Amino acid sequence: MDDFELDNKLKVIGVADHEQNSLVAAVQLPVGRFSDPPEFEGLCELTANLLTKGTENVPADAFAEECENAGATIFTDAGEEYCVLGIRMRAPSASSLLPLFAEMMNRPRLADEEFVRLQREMITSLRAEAVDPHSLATRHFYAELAGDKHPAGRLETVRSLKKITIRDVRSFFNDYFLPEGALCVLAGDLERPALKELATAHFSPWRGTSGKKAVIAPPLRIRPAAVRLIDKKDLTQTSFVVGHACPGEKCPEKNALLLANYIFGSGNFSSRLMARLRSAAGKTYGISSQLSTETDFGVFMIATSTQNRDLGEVLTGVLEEYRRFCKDGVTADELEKAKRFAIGNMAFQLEGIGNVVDKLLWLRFYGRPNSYIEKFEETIFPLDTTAVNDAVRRYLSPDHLIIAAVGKRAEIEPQLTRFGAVKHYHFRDKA
Amino acid sequence: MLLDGIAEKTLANGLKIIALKKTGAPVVSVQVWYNTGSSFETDGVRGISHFLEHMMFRGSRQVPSEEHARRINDVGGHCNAFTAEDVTAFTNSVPRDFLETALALEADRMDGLTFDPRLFETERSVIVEEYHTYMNNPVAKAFLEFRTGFYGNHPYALSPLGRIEDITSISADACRDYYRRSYAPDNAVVVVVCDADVKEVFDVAGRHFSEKNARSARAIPPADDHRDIRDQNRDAGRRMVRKVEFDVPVLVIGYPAPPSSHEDAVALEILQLVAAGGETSRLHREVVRRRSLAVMIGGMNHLLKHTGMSMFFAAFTPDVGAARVEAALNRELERIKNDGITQEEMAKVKNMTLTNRIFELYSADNICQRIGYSETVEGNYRLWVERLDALENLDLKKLVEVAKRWWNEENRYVLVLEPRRSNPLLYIGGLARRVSGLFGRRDAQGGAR
Repeated sequence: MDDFELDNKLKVIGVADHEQNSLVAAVQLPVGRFSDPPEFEGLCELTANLLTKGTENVPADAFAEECENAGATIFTDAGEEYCVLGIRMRAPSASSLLPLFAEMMNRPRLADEEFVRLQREMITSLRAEAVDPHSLATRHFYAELAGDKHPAGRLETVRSLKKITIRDVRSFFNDYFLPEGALCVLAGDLERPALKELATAHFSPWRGTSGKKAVIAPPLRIRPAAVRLIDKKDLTQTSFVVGHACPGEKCPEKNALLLANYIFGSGNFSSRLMARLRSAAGKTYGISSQLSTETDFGVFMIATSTQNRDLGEVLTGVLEEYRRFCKDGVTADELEKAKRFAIGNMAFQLEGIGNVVDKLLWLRFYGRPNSYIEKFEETIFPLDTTAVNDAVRRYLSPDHLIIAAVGKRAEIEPQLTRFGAVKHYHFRDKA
Repeated sequence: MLLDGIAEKTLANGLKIIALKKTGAPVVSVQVWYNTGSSFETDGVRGISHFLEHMMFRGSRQVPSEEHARRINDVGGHCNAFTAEDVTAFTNSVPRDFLETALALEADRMDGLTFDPRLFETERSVIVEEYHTYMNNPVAKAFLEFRTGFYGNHPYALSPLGRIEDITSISADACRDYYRRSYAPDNAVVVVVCDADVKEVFDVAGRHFSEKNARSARAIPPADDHRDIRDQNRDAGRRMVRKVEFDVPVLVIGYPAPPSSHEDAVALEILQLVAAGGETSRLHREVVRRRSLAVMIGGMNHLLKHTGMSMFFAAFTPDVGAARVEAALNRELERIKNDGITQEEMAKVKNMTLTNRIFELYSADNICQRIGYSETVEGNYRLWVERLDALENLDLKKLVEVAKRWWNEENRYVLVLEPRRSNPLLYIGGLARRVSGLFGRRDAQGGAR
């Protein structure tokens, strides 16, 4: 691997990998949806997507042709605190497509008609999600957890997408899509000097400064427990999300928390939640917990669906398991298995250059050295029950839970009232 | 070439083992594909194949309930399973050192399930929950109804999900009987992709599977009425319109398609890519970009062992209307049928297919899945391996014949999903756009269109 910086301050990693005759180029920009201005949620994603619709010299149709005729695929992923734009191709296409990709990053076309089309596409996608019970539950959960002052509580809506103009996109691009602070990873079937030469030749012309800093969401203040019921009459099942805020990536006990989460809910059939609610009780097709972390802010959430008539029983089961977990922690046997999973699973996270690129981007954004992967086993292995249970007691608590349940009100309301004062919504209401 | 290293061996009991050594990430993929699925079922037990798939995780003489998955997880791996119309497959991905663990577990449950009554009933509840998950998705629910109409009296008419009245009444005895008649070495293929010599794979697999007995009970016969669905005279039911709790109008068009092993299958795949694959496809260019009739458009061929569906779908806004989208889509397909495709389009499809193949080959799981599917559903894994060669040998003129044969108007089935709640004012922007288009627009660079 080669690690270097261009004179425009773009950091570059070149990874020579000769398993297949392919190449992946990905650029990570340290800006995500948390930097969307209030009432303009969706701006970052729209901007990232619009970049892929042509360059100053190459209109959208011709751009798509050049990529697809070579069998290449452009991809974008706009996250909370960073976004990634990339291209997958066969290695022989590098000399023609890498310059095009670099031009896309530096001088995208940002055409009016492409903007209009993309805006419509995003609005349509959002409308398609608008009636999905799990999406609704998640949206309401975040709105209750974070409110509208914290970026995590401000999700894109049809209204916010419609408010965005092409001028906003161009301005956002000029402010944030810049080489300084960005990272480019080139991985594939080329020798290291060739990768370095390509990166230098094609990405050095990328210029621009703005002084604008993207938003890193602050930690969430603990909010009071709350219960939201979102009424959707046609449902025979209720989808619900329950959880609370937790620390972010910078937390020194992050790995301990990940192991704890695996044991509690993310370890599939090995988890406590699945053992109780699916395997023993048959009350759900699937239940899981996740630790979703950004730099300084994170969320711990449990999600599942169950038939309306069983909501009370399932929610009681979830909360009982969670209280027991927070009080008693993990056992030595559970921890051993969780560590073995974490260590063994790393091989899958590095299978193929696509996964290698993703991993490198993640490592670098959170300031972890490349050696993090080689030393992963050494980092995980020493964590004992004391360390993990200390982290559990410090950061996980059943005292301030937010519950968001989407189901048929007439059937689920009586079951929800035992969990707290219920706030009522219709599924068409703004979260 | 990586795939040149695929080797196969058939044991005395009929079990076929297909193995490939793949270096790179130190992982192993072990999959077992059983030649049984929903098309083998009869009334009263619709959904039994899927039920059995679930029970495969619920305990055997040697391995307690859920312990298969836990043992796989404990070594850092993951496992899963799925039931389809023609096959039921069980997948395991583990780090390199645990090849034998995965093979031993699969061998154990091939003939060792215990069907504990209490666990059977609990799993029934889980399957009912899964059923409700689909039924609470209005688009999925409508599509299930559509496919039933599409396939008519064919054994593929019902999805592997089955019928709720059968799911709630299937007995453990019926399931056990189905298991004995379907799950046996002479009705299965084991596929292994890993960083080990194929000889080692055959040795380890042989140790665990050789003692298994071929079926002594009468096999479940495949359905004997895999008729050509084009011959079914069903004018009524070719067009389905449903109002659904979903905010985006959707159009689906389905054509009866050939079996996956048919000589037309590769050609149809090329046609599908030209018609609907990517932003440079015919449909995207014309229906989305030039005429702004659809917001998104796509397609896929779902080819099964005996027949299938070649389908196209579009999402659009209510101000447009399904009829206009359908007409535009049909027009493009007619153009392909009349004029064929260009050399440039053919070259593009070849490049797309080659690039996809290259990226597929990174993943042991993917390779395993492709081999398993091709062997059991297409009849020979070499059909997948040699697909790129088959592309090279295709004659453009033949593509026109294939398009005319399968994208035949007389056989077309249409599904229109209309939002139950539709307020045209929500789409006033679309109306304005269509009017303004009459007067020309300019892009950011000042160029006129």
